This record gives sequence, structure tokens and C-alpha cells, in this order.
Amino acid sequence: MDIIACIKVVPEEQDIVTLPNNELSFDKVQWKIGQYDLNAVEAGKQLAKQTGGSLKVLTIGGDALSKTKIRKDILSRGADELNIVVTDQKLDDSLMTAKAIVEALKEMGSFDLLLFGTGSSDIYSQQTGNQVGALLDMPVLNEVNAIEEGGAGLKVERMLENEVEVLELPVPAVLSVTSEINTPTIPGMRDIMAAGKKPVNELSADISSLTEYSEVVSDLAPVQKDRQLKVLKGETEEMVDALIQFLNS
Amino acid sequence: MSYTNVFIIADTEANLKELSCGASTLGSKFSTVIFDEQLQSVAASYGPEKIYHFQAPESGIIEDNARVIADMVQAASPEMVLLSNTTRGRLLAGKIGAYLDTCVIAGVTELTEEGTKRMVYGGAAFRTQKATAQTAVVTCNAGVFEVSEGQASGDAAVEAGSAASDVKIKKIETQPKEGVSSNIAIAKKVVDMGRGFKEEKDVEMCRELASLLGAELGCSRPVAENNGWLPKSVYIGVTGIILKPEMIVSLCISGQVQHMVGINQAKKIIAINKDERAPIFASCDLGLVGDVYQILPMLIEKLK
Repeated sequence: MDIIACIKVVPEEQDIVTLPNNELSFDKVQWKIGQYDLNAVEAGKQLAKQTGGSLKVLTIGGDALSKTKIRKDILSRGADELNIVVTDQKLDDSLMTAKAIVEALKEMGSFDLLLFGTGSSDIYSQQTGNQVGALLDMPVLNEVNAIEEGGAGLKVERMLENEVEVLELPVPAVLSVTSEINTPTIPGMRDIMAAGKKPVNELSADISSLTEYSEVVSDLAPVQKDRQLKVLKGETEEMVDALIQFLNS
Repeated sequence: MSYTNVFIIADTEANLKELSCGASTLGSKFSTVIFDEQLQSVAASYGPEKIYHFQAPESGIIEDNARVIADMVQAASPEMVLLSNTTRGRLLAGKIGAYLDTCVIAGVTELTEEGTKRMVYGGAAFRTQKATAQTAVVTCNAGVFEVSEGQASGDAAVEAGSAASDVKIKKIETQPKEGVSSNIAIAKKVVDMGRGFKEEKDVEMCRELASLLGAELGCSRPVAENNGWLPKSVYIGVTGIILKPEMIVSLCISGQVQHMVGINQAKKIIAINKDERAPIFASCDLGLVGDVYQILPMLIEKLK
């Protein structure tokens, strides 16, 4: 089965600085593979191995993708090749992102399965996979928690809030996996060495004419509520009594 | 903010009630899409202009209706289509958004004059966003709207939707998840179990406290995901549930930012932790520094 995992390189949350006016500064951020995308890559790796297929990774983003380090990091996770679109376009809107992916896929040849994580770990709309599936007119599912070959193509388990659905669908298909579907392997020295020898294709997809469907007004750090900050320590019974008094007040 | 025409798409009874309440405060008129005929009278009790009833194809899923719903919505041209931010709600939203060629704003925690608010960057910020397209598709987190029972006479016109046109997915079976029924997302009081507990049977102690307080029991991500002591549907935090209760009692919670964004909007936070330097003590109303295995049994005894 030929698989493409679509991933996003995102800013490391811990490096985002909150400025005094509550705006965010990204000046010092390192870039990393989105946390939930690691599950999509791992699922793709396992399925490619089981079915004797291949795994390619596609990613679209800004300058951060030009760095060798991040490219090697992606390739050390089990992909056979990496495909990149470097763009100045801000991809804040999931449909715009989905259209960019569809454009890039045209250059990558046919596939049986497109995989996404449950959401990008920066914007986390959890929509891009759903929308790529709709645009390509392929069967599409989100929150997929197990994938195997079966029936006319794939047999999957899908997590709903109160139940698990077992579904069959033909390929080619588009699936977004849960963050629980697997535990992503940490690349070993051999994987990292091998990554340097794998092909990286810079795609020429022209996505400059895509426009956004919504406008970001602001990104502001949450305002901390004023808390009473009454912290007690000492005798258990005194603390418990104070707690009960607090509950009744 | 006032809309003249809103559509809601509800996959469960609870979502139907919440979205109906939301739509009736947001828009001067609204229409309701349901997938279960038995929900017709509930849908009607909130006074929608029209109710559309779509059915999942035999051995298919309700999301197979996305294309025919999109066609129907396009004809009515509402300013907003509202769904719940559930697995089904998100897939329906994504497909409908793509078919209508419009934005989906997902996981919204607030709808205000300025637009929508949702959390980004793992809880580091709230994003205020405005749709610039004609019809915005929005999925709302639980608890965005106050829920009340419908009061309308219930004579809304019901129209059967066209048959689903996406029929590639075949449903083999549905398995129930054990013990997941919880109202935590809209609970007024919550007991929040952290990973400082030693063993699974401690869940009972937390559950007992919750029941004495009239609270729902939730937990941090590791308690659900690594330990599997509570269902994943009740873990609190940036990728789980974001709460807005009157009060939350956090037990053995250290106060990592990913968890705190889920409880920060609580009116009152009570924290119990044996580590005096735990970050949660810097953002609680009442903190007890001590051993939960001594404090909890005594608290439970006294509350009884």
C-alpha cells in the first residue's frame, strides 16, 4: 500500500514568549514536527511495512522547512522520501491548507492512503484531513484508532464520544488518526544516519493564488483570573476544616 | 451579534438542545438538521423555522449526508452553520465547509461581537477570528451555550432530506465504550484527578468525593491515557475538555500549562498537592499542601 503522511512543522510551544501586552512573540522559537503528526507518520510506517508498501511524507510551510535538521528529523521517522512545498503564504485557514495539499499531491503520483494526525499542534482545527478528503472526493474519516487491510480496502476503528465504530472503506482514502493509535518510535542512531541519504523533493506547487476564508483578528495570551491564592499547610484536620468552610462559603 | 439566519446540525439529543439554545439567542431565525426521527419533537420545542431530517444510508454513517446537506444549506444561504465539536460534528463540518467552499472555525469556546474565540498554540493563546466568507461553518465546544428546555409549541415544518450521496464507507458494527457517560463538560462542579495517585482503586475515593459534592469526575491526560483509569472522554486540558465550572477540586495535579488551560476558566480552584512548589498553588483560590491519602479520607468522612 502506497501511503502519504501529511504533516506540519510547528513552533515549539515552550519557546513562545508572552509579551507584556499579551501578544505572542515567536522570535526565539525552534520548529518541530507537530506532536500529533508523529502518530500519522508512525501509523504510515507500520502499515507500509505490513503491506510491503511505501511511505512518503508531504509538508508545506515557511522557511523553517529549508533547514537540514528538520528534514532529517522527519526522514528519520520512517518515511522513504520527503516532499516539501516552501511558501510565504500564511496557512491559517484549514480549507486553504487543504487546497495547497491537493495542489502538491498532483506532483506526487498516485497513492492508496493519505494520513493525517488528529490536528496540527499549533492551530488544532482538526479539519485539514476532512477537507482534503472532501476536495478529492475520496472516502474520509477522522479519529481513526486502528487500521488494517481488509474488505474492499481498509478496515478501521473510529472513536466516537460514546462508542467505537468498525468501518470498511475502499482506497484511495483519507484518514486522520487519533493520538492514541500508536506510540511513535524514537529514532535511533541508524535511523538518523539513514535519513541523510533519503530523497527530499522540493515541489513547485503554485499556491500563491489561494486566499483565506477567515481573518485572524488577534492571538492573545489568556488573561489570568485573579485568584485568592490562599495556601495552607500543617495539621490535616485544620486544613480539612478550612476546606469545608471554603466549600460552604 | 445578531444573525438573520442560522442552521444547526445536531448528531445527538444533548447537542441538539445546546445548539438550539445557541441558535435561538444568536439568530432571528434558525433551522435544524437532525438524523434521528425521534428527536423531532425536541427539535421543534425550540421553535426553529424548519426541521430537516436526514438519514444515514443503511450500513453507512450520518456523515455520508454531507454533500446533500451542503446543497440544501447553499440554497438557504445562512450566515452560519453551527455544529458540536464532536468526532461526527467535525467531519460533517469539514466536508460541508469544503463543498460550500467556505471556512470552518472549529472548537470555538466563545462566540462574541468580534467573532469567534478558540484556543491555539497548545493553550498559549486565544485566537479571535472572523469569517469573511458568506456562510461560516462553526463547531462549538460543549458549554458554549446555556442549555434550557424548549418552550415552543412545536409546530415547525419537517422536511425529509434527500438520500445520502456519499456511500463508500460501510459500517460493520458499533461497539459501546464502557462507562463513558459523563456530563463533565457542562458540570457546575468538578473533581479533577491527577497523576499523583498511586493505584487504580483510588478512583473510588475521588468518585466518592465527587458524589458528595454533587460533582462530575474528570482527570489529567496521563490518568486517562497512560493509566487508563478513567475514560479518555473525561480528561481535561488543551486536547481534552476545556471547563468553565463554578468550582473545581484538583487532586494531585501539578499544574502543567496543558492541563491548566482546561481549568483556568473555573470560578474557584481548590488544589490539594503534597509538593509545595507545584505550579498549581500559584493559580488556585484555596490550596492545601499535604498528603491526599490523609486529607481525602478525612474530608469524605466530614462531608458525610
